[in-house]
Amino acid sequence: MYGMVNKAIQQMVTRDHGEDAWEAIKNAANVKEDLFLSNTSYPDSITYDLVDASSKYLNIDAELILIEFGKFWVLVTAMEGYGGLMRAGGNNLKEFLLNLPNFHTRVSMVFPELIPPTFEVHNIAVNSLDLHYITHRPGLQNFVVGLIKGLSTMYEVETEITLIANRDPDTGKGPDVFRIVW
Amino acid sequence: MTTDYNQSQGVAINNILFNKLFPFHVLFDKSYSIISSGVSLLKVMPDIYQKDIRELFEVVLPKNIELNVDKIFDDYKNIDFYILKNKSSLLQMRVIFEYIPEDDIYAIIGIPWVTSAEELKDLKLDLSDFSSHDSMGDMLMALQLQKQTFSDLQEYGVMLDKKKTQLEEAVKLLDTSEKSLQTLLDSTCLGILMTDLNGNINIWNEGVQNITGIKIDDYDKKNLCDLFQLEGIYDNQNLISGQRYETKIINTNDKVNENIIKLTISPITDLNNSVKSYCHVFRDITNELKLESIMRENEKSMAVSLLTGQIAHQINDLLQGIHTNVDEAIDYIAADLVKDETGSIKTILKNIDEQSTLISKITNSMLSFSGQQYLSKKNYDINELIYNVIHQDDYQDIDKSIITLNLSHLPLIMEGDKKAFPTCLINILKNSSEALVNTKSPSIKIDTYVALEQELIDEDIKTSDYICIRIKDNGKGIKTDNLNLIFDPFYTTKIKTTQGMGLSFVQGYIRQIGGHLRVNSSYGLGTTVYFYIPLSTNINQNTFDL
Repeated sequence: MYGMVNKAIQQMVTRDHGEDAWEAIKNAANVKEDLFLSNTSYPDSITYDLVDASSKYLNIDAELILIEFGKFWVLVTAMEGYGGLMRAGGNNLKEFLLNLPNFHTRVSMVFPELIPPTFEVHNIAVNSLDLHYITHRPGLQNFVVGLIKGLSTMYEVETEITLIANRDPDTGKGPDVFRIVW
Repeated sequence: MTTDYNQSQGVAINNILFNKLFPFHVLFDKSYSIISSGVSLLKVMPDIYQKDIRELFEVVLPKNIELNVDKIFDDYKNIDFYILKNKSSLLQMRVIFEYIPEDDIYAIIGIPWVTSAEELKDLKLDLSDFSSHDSMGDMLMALQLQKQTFSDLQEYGVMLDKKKTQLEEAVKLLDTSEKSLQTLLDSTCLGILMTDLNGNINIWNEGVQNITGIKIDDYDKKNLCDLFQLEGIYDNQNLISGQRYETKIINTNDKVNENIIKLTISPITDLNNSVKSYCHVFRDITNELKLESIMRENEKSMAVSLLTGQIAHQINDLLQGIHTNVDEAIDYIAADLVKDETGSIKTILKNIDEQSTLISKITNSMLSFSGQQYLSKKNYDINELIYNVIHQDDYQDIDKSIITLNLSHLPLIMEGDKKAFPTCLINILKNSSEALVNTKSPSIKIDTYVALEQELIDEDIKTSDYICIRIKDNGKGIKTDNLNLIFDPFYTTKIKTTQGMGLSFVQGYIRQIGGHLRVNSSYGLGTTVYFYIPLSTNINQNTFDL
């Protein structure tokens, strides 16, 4: 997992709940890193443990906290670190979502050791599209929901996000499909 | 650079494909008039048709290059690419010049030259304005990620600086603490010394020198065990299990003043409770011991005074009674009542006899304590004496039902006084009975046997023929600190008892007949008393008195 995801968790917990809360969550998750490098690969278990520990410490449901982390990642972490790239991703939400597959392909080219998720865009209409999210990582669908919500805020547009199809529960293969209507 | 179109196969491409491939291109004729441009360039420069390209652009790299196609294709043909700048905007282009002979026109093929995605946005462009084969987007992403990594590293550096400062402060604090600790150590009258697990000395304070008389420097790289002949001390089970261990050392290092040192060794453990080093505390207890001895002597003197007074009072009372009785007897005699028909004189003389007997008992006890009791020595079977004591009706304050006898089948003949040994036995049984007051299942066991050789060796008894009488109870036992004091004639744990001569009387008598007395006790578990009495060597019929 990108360090930037863990960094978003750290930033959000520290900003909203203070340094002590972050230290407590970090200790509970048995995470030794004082700082995460955004573009470095970290074991996925760190992210899962941090989400789990945050949920318990802050007494917030894990699904909700993932959505909040996703929103925070777009609006704070990514905008601070990759603001130019984010803005160059498109002039509106639709353009950005259409560019999202290319964006992740470029990430894979620049950092071949990272394994980013794959996005596909289907059923493109004037006010909606279906975003296919394909990854080997389980349990992060709500993080994607948070990311889309963050992008909606960034482009100042109201959206409705519905998970219309799930990956195969047994094999974990296939896309999670989000219908995004604006 | 020019292309030799004569060597190529060539394909005709339409404007749409050309635009898709080169969305930032410019075509101009020999008069430098722009005849076409790419769709993405038009987003930045919408009104460029038929304008003179030299009015719109200038060459900024390489330096001092004129935008002149003749020179570009002749003089500058070794230059790989150019950076053109739009004179009226921020746009800079990385370009190459090409000549298209079929149309006799020139082409500028290039892309906006930016080093960050922010610059792209300033030009109102985004990644979709670049041709898909163009790696500009990838480069921008790589640059952006690199920039972010650099930013992270700077943050990391700040954090490391902060940690370094914290560490430096911690080191300073440790330095100060170490000095304070040293000052504290030096200011105490205790000697404090640290060693590793093998006794090699690491840290010490001045107190060690003051107490032991050894120069501090002598300790350097020395071993504590060698200095005090304490070989094997770290094998002590207490220390191995992480507990404190105390011992006394008679220190002869200071030739002038020999002193007694109490050495306390405390294991220092790490977070895993593994012993890593030892802390030794030296305390000179010479004066304490002297003071303690003086205090005990004082206590004894006071007790002797008290006892003397009590004995004097008892004897005086008895003598007073005798005196009164004698006066009365004289009066009777004076009254010519010699016949003593009423038996009054007889009663008076009987009283005098009883009172004299009591005085005799008191003086005998004192003589016994001092080991100078007059003994009518005869041979007795110890088993018989014990049996008689236990089965007599006397001594009501001893519960005989809890006593178990395990007497030797062989007669064990001792030479002694017929009354003194039973008195000793009663003394011990009384003590046991008192110790059993709150015991759930009280018991006293009495064994007799010929003492084993090893027992005698342990008791440091040279001769070998001894009777052993063992009296074992399961009472409350005696505290270790008190065990050494029980034979002290004035020691007692019994509140308001006027004197404590019982055990000292027993010991005095046993010693007088050449025997030994030993008491083992575990506090809370019980006490065992051992009498070691010599087997009689003078056995013949006449001397038996059973």
